[in-house]
Amino acid sequence: MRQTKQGFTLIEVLVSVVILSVVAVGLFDVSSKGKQNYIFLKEKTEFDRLSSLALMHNDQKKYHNKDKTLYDFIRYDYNIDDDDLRKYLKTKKVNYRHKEVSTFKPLDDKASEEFKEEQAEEDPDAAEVASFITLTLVYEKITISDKHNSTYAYKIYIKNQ
Amino acid sequence: MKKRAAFTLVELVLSIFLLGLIVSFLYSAVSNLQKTNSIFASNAKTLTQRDKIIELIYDDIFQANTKNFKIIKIENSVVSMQTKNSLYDMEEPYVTWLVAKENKTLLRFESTKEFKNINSNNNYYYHITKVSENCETFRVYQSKSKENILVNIKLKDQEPIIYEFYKPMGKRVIDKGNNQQKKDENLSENSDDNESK
Repeated sequence: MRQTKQGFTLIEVLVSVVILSVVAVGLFDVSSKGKQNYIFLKEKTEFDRLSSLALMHNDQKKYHNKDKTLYDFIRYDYNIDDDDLRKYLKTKKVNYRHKEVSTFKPLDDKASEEFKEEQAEEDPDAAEVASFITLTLVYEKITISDKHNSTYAYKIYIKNQ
Repeated sequence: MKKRAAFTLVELVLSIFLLGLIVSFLYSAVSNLQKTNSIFASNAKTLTQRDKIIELIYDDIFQANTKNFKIIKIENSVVSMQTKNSLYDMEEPYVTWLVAKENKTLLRFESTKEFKNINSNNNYYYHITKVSENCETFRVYQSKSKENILVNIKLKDQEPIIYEFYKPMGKRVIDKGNNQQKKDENLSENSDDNESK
């Protein structure tokens, strides 16, 4: 009887195909990830730089949760006589969110009044320091975002009662 | 006699063919990767250059003395200041940024002498840094509140570099070119003097 010729089994062929495809996918991934990283980095840097215009004009609480162009933020504070710059800023739309995150009061109202009186009795100069302690510390979060990017900053200030 | 087990010619040819196929695919993938890498490298260089420009002008303006700060608006801005930021180890040098007409080059002058006193006799006192070529726009604005500065630099075929930061001056520092005429006159007088000497 003639000996049957030995060949690859189906399993062996499948395994080799799988290994080959894994290598191919890995290679594609390497090249596409670099591109993605670069584009992300570029857009993020540009966006962070541009969002400085909105962050520097952070007293615009009325803009909360609204879509505004970057020109809206600076139009009242600058005389921009460069048409190209005006046009460019008007094309850059961002979503502005400005909300209070928390407030911090070292002492509550009653305790602060008592504290003030106490201090005033002991030493009139210390009353000034005491009045500082009764102030409220406000934390606000400002978020600027567009379709692909977002950046945020915290604003911390002392509110006089 | 026992026959030696070996590959047949067909098997060898087939394996070489497969190897060639895989290598050609790999080669095209690697060469593609190298090509895109070189593009990324040049783009990353542009990005770093943009960062460096804005960083340099930010350091200059932020550390500037408010007393001698002046922005003159002609076609582009000419910004003069006395600052603590120095590229040449000088103590509080006078720094001036302007766009030269030749190749629209953005230049930074640094010296212990004020820029307005530059003439052909003392120009070796001034360190000139070529920041970038093909600068289409260089404008520095001061906010009406006199607290912020907005910088706009547009290089050819690139998105503009726009950055705003806090720099309280307490006074208006923008001149709309009136002083420039005087300066030009001064310069021409100086050059006349030099010629006569």
